Formats: sequence, structure tokens, C-alpha cells
Amino acid sequence: MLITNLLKTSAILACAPMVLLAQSVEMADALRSDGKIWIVILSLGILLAGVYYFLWRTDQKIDRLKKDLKS
Amino acid sequence: MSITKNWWKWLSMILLYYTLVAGLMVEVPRLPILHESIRNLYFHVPMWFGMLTLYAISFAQSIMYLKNNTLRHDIRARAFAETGLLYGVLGLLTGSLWARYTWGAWWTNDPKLNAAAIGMLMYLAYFVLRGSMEDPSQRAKIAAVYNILAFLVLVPLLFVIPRLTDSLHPGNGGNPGFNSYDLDNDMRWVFYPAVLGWILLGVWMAVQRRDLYELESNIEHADN
Repeated sequence: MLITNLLKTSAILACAPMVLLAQSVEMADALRSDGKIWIVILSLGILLAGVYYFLWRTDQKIDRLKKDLKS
Repeated sequence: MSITKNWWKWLSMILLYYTLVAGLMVEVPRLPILHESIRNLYFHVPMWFGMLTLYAISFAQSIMYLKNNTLRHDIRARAFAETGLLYGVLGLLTGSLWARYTWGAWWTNDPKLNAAAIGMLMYLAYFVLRGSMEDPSQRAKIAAVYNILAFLVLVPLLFVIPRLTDSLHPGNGGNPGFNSYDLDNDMRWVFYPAVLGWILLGVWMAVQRRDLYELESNIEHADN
């Protein structure tokens, strides 16, 4: 009984640094808590919109050329 | 842009906006060394899925060319291979950046990395080969044979050889693709839509190139 308890305790103790490590890993918590990550998301959103707009316009130009060539 | 015909273009846009918001906001596992860079999973890895999809379509078109001898298939093989190469280059660049800040070097002599670089050179050679021939049908035939060969070499190069040896890159060294990522279930909800979104964007770009090259060849025929 004593031995199993000792084993359990030492197992828990051995895991403790890992738990501590998991908590101390630096993440962008502050960035997200003050909400400013949204600025980045919005910027990337604008960029993505630009890319999609460009692709869409090119589609239109291609369609027009196809029509012109057919007639 | 009609929604019935181009629904997949809209889908790609919805998926990539979802990737953008969820990819930067949703909780990710807290791992040392990786930190927030784990989010690169949603942007770097889909490049390779996209590249492989585009090359696979190109490969299929090359087979169809050899079967039917119609230049339409050659044009498609070229358009999809070009877009695939773009994705491959972007995958290498983002991977190199990620490696710099997690492994400590822009490039390591890792089997996965070297295989990816060789794969890129193989496809570069495909375009050099195309450029070296004038006659369209001769070019189409030789390029198709080369393209089929390149794809058949690329797949074991990227997905078999790195697994047979040790590798820093996740998903290698005897491990099957995913579990070694510590990819938790929440990340899958962003990762899979991200992959599909990036693939569809690549297909869209390839389809535009295909249309442009088809128009180009129509104009050439009209001139003659």
C-alpha cells in the first residue's frame, strides 16, 4: 500500500513540470484579449477580397473574349 | 457569376474566410517551440494538398492526351501543372520560414524537404521541356509522357521515401500522416475546410489559365 502510494505520488510529481510547461507556453493571449487581432484578420480579409475580386474580373474578361471569338 | 455553375468558387471564398477567422482565433494546443506558429498548419500544409491535387489533374489530362491526341488536354495539363508549381513554391517558402523559427534553420537536409525540392525541379524541367519544342503535337506528346512520369515519381518521393527514414518533418519517420502533429480535434475543424478552400482557389486559377491558353490557340488557328 505504501509502495503504491509512493509510486502514485512520484508519478504525479514527475508530471508536474509538464503541467507547468503547458501553462507557461507563450501564446498570443494578450493580443487576443485586447481584441486587436481583429485588425490583422480584417487586413487579411481585405487582401483576400482583392484576390477574389481580381479572379472574378478576369473570369468576366475571359467570358467576353470567348463570346467575341465565337462571333 | 452564376451560382449554379460557379458554386465552387463561392465555396472556396466562404471556406477561406472561415479559415482566416477561425484559423487565427480558435484555441490551439499550447506546445513549446511551436507556440502560435502551429496555426501555420492551416496555411502551409494546404499548399501541398493543393499542389498534389493540381498535379493529379494535370497527370490525368496527360493520360487523356495520349489516348485522344487532342490538344485541349495538353493545354489543360499545362495550366494545372503551372498552378501546381505555384503552390509547390509557396509551400516551400512558407515551410522554410516555419523551419527557421522552429527548427532553427531556413533549410535542413531533411528527406522530406529535399524530396520536395527535387519534386519542384522535376516540374520545372517539364516547362523547360515544353519550351524546347516548336511543333505543338510533338511537344504535347513528349510533355505528356514526361508529366506522367514526373507524377509517378513525385508521389513515392514525397509520401513513401521520407517515411522510411528519420525526419524532423511531422508525418514522417515511420509515422502515418497525422497523429504525430498532435493535431487535436478542434484543429481538424479548421484544417479540413482550409485544405478544401485552398484547393478550390488553385483550381480556379488553373481554370483561368486553361481558358486563356485555349483562347490563345483559337486565335492562332484563326490567324493561319
